[in-house]
Amino acid sequence: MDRRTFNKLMAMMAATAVAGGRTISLGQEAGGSAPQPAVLSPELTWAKAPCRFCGTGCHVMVGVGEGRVRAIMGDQKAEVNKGLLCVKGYHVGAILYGEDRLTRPLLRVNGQLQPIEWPEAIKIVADKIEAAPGRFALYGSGQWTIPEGYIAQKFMKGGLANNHIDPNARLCMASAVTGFLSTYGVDEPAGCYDDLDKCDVLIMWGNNPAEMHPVLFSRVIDRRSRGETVTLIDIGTRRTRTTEHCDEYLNFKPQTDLAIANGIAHLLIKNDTYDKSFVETYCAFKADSDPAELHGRPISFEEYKQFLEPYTPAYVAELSGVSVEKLHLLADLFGRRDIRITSLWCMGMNQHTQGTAINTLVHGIHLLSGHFGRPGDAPTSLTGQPSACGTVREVGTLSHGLPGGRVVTEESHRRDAEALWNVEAGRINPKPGHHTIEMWRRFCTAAAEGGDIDTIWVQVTNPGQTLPNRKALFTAKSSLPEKFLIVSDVYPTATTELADLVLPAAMWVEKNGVFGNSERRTQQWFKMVDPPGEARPDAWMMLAVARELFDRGHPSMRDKDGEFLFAMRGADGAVVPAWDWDHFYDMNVDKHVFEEYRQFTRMKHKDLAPYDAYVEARGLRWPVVEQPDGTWRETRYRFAGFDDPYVEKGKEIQFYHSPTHDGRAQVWFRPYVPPPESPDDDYPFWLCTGRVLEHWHSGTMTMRIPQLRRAMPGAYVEVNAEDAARAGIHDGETVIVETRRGSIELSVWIDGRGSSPPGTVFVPFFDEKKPINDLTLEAFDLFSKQPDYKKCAARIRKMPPAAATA
Amino acid sequence: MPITGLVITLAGDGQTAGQARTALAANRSLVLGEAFGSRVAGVLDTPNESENRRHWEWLNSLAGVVFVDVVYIALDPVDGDPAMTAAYSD
Ligand code: SF4
Repeated sequence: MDRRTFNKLMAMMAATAVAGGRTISLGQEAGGSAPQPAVLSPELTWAKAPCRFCGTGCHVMVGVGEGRVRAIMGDQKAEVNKGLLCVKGYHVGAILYGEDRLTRPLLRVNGQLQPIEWPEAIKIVADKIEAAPGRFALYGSGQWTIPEGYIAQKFMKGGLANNHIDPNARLCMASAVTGFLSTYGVDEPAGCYDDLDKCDVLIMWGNNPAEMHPVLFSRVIDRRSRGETVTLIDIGTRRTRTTEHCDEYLNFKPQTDLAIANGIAHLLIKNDTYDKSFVETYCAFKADSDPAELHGRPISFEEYKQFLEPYTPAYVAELSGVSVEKLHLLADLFGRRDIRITSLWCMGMNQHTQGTAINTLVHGIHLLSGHFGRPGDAPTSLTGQPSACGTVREVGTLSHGLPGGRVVTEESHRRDAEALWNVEAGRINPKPGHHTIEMWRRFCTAAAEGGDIDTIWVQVTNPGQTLPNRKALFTAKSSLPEKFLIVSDVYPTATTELADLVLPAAMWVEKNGVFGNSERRTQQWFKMVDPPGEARPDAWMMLAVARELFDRGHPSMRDKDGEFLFAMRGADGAVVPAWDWDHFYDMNVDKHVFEEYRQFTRMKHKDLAPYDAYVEARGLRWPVVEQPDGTWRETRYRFAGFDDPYVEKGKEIQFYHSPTHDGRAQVWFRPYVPPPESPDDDYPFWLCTGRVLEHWHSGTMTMRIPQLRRAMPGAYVEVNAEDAARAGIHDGETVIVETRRGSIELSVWIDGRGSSPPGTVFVPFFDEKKPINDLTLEAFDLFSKQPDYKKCAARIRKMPPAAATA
Repeated sequence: MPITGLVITLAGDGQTAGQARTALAANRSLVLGEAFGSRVAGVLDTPNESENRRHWEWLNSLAGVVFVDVVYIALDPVDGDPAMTAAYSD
């Protein structure tokens, strides 16, 4: 059979299986060690992997032949996507084959990047660290695999006693973390994607899953096509593809989601439709303390009611622009006990200077109304990156975190980590390091003026494009020759443009990996193809630098017995020199690291199963607990007695990490607070930034896939038709968009992919040639330190006549 | 060579769905497979990427088609079609 016929046959089999809800057999797949040949294909070997892109965490089957990824198929055995993939997912194999892959280490000499050898590159990194270990920072990612993040975390906090490690996930989900922590005392959603199959009402708060988490959205739309009734409600500041499918669209003025949430709570109490029994049994009440602190101060239910008193429908309607009728509609739905309601959110609520507040308020509505803890009744945040949950939130690669949901500020947490890492007590620094904005601000400030970060090593992310107020927080580095930027990446990016040292990285199925998706699902895969040239995994780079420091006698990389901090022993008990590239694959480094990390996960009921259990599964949702028969059981609904093994027998719901230590979740009051910058006479528009279906984040990967790039070749400014007519602006015309921080030229798309209301413009951030983050605001949430990319004041100017006709 | 395995979800309304089925069956680049309720399996086989895109847009705009999911894609480049790879800098 030729390849063409084979591919057509496979395509039809896959389509038939997915349409019919069946599973096709690819023969024996990857088992305990390496991928096995598939029975159906004489040429391709098939193995499972999670998609490299978003936090949905779809599984793909990867067909490999002649050392290359040749075919991608949705994995029908995967519960997350049941064989379906979005437009990005089915092109995921092509991300490996952009023609400008980085294949050699490069050092900037006289302004030019010149190839060097790996030993020299590793020595340069070690030199920079050795020169000033406390002035070194590591900027990582929600695309790090779990083992990579764990190695980086141990290297910095357990080795260098330096907490200046923070990930790009600070920019995308830090407010979700502080929201969960201040409500339940422990991070991550209680529910899971199964809620999407069970809810009667799905409310999307500033969320566009039709484009950003398409497979999850299609799961809900599919229910409708099977005749089920699901009411979809979009609460947003701009119409999107999601809106087209919704029964209700509530357009609100930016920032007033806080008022809407308070308005719903106000009505639930006024109408006496809140769930009294749930509240009395499972809830306590909180408000902000002075000075403000994550866990605030307790208040009584009576005080809570009084705080809500001003949020009448009329007042909220005036603030938000949402009609009184629609506010009643929401409150009436939450007031019903006979339906199940799931809330979804992502960047709209998280990239917000009041991100922690709005997260807690939405949790609060679900708790107040008892829409919690039953399948379909859940407040659920989604993540944008494939392992924002696994590597950042669970491994704790934030400047204050330790693995397993623990923190550097707690002495007992530090002692436990020091014991597991076998370093002396006191090695871990109790002071949190610089969070992302602070880290880059210090890096872009001269040492003499307080810029106390000299070197940053960036791994698996592109801050040169994604940091807000980019000129101040990134581009300023170009005038500071004493600052040194190291970048590990797979392609040239806006970040490598200013890098002093570039390290070529292996990506996705060019290495082993483990991710953790938005629903607490931990997903493992094996290396399937070789990386190009001298590209190598980030985990190896970190081990090689650690060993270099150890060999130089640097005390940071020794444990308290004088042994190398990352010593890994093979089955015979001998140390495997995994830091030496020739021996990196002598053992499964991921498995070794994962088993060490796993010990942390049991400290806060985030239990993971042994590595081998994930080899067999299409991911497992934690806590994963061993059963009497030796099997491993995942948990779909945390805190719910019918499913969560940590809830005491006989209890329906138990918040066993309650911040008030009494089994109760916290219902917060948080007032509406105006945004730090609003439109005015000089800058009369709201500027909102975000993503598009075809491109993933900064476009480094998807802009190299011709199909995706052709489908969406460049950034644009989406302008409302009335605004455009008023300003005499035409579709396709190039205009200048500017804020107080910068300006760029963009072509106009009237009513665009979505549709912005009058007075609002939208610009996607995937296009490196149109860096919209030169314009965005760096103001951030007080608790989560997450900046707001969704609203600042902007203006649009027509091009000067000469430029326009040029 | 673009070969993609598709699941096409048709509208619940019988008349529109019937018209969509007829239109789908008449498309010579599309081989329809089994139908399971409103979901129909299919394979789109086009000579190049731009044709693939054109058919994709047609499918998505067809009255009676609610959703088109892609479940399989072959990544091999073919003669005369630009390679599946590109540099961002061009
Ligand atoms: S929804 Fe996300 S994880 Fe799933 S295929 Fe698309 S990009 Fe990949």
